[in-house]
Amino acid sequence: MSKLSFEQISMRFGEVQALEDVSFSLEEGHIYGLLGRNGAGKSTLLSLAAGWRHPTAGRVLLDGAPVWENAAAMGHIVCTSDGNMFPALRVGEGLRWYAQYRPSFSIERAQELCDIFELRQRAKIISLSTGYASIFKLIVAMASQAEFTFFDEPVLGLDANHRDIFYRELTADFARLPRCIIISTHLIEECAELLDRVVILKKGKLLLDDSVENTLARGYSVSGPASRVDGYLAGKKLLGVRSLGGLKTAYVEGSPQPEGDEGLEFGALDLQQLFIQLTNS
Amino acid sequence: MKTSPWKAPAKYQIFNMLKAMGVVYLVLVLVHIAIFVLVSTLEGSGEAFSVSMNASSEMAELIFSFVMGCCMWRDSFHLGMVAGVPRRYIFGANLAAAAFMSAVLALFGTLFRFLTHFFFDITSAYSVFYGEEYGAGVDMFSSLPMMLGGAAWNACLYLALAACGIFFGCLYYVIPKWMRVALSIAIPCLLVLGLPALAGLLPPGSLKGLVLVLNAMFGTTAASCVTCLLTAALFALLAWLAVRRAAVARNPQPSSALGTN
Repeated sequence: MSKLSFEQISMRFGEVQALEDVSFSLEEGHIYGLLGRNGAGKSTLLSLAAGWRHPTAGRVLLDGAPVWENAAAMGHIVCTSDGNMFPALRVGEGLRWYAQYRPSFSIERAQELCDIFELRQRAKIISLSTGYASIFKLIVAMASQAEFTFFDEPVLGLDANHRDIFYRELTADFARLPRCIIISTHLIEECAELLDRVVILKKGKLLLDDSVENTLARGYSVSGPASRVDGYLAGKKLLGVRSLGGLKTAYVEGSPQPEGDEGLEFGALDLQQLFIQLTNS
Repeated sequence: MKTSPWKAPAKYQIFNMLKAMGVVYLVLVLVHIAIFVLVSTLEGSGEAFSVSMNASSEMAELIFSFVMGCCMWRDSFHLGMVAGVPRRYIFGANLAAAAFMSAVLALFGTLFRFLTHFFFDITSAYSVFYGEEYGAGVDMFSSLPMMLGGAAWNACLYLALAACGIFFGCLYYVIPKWMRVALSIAIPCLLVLGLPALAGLLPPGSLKGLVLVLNAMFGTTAASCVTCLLTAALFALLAWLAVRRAAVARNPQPSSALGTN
């Protein structure tokens, strides 16, 4: 099973430290959520993994071999971009040329996905709407069948129907061909069910790299009247709070201890709330 | 199935450049037809005319070679990166495509001039500069060695210009915008104003030396071809140094979206 490792990755753009000493690994057979606030360094990290830029420090390794300028390694990685990296071609033409560049690309699967998403193959790539431009990139990434597939904001501009189709097709693809999929997204609630591992970046540093199960088992939520919640929280490690009028919801580390606490409701953490609490300044 | 990673980028470049070359020659043919029809009409009115087309198609080919080089890097780099092709293969494919296109351009151009010389008085640049190598007063289009020599010279010259274009295309990709603007102003000023001014400042003796050097570099077909190939190699090396660590631009867009195609 292949492993993509980030070893002490740092990236600096002039005075801006986009990434600082980030180290973790990605393995096949998992769907990762790469989460972080705006400017946390998610897109930068993905571009380094795909070999699109050279890190200021550190290395990206695929099974021990550097990815940088390594045709064998780069052939196993595909990443979607925030812009349009295809020249002025029609969709069908672009897919046929891309198939020549990347041997693992399945033109049949790409054409099937074009039909599913109702993307016209005669349409010019440069004239596609925001949503269909995203769909084109998704199709290219999914049909590439690369062992490491990175989706950077995959559902940008997609309507609810198309988002649903994407998640369904991605799940079916993963079941058919388990590989390493990384989804970098701000729509955490929507794709939380898909993810089995989560990586969180905060201000360029690695905050968390764990399974979703372990992450959510870190704590729990307790809700109720603010005074009761405050009383309950004494001596407990707090992850975050939310208040609304006289009611309060607290996110607490550890396991719930509900003995004698009437009027309080205990619940599981949800990924989005945990993310918000962990990444709030 | 294993495929060479440079083949697809080279094929893509050649395919696109052949399309562009087709457009250039279509325009050239139409211009020649228009001129021929105009002249024929005027001759029909009793006036005698002859039309000289001195190096006009060669000038078009020179400009095309340079512009072709300028346009090669951006789109091929973006497509190569998303397809997982390393930079050195993309760059190598561009050079291979430039070499192929230079040869095609030279051969096609020679054939074009051979065909049009039946309708126009064609004087090629090669016959002006190097015609004496084949004997005084030899007509280029009745001497196969001269035509082939001209084609070889043209191919080397077009490759040098294409490599120069590749260098500028690569350089403009990696430098910041303010530097692009500065270079776009500075380079034409240097060529138009700076070089003549420099020539005026040189001592009289040095000009003679300069002429000798230029004669050694361009005095014969063979010397000129070698000079052009070395120039192409130099520009190719400089271009590689510019892009060997090139990063994909933030929010990349194709050349056509920038209006640079």
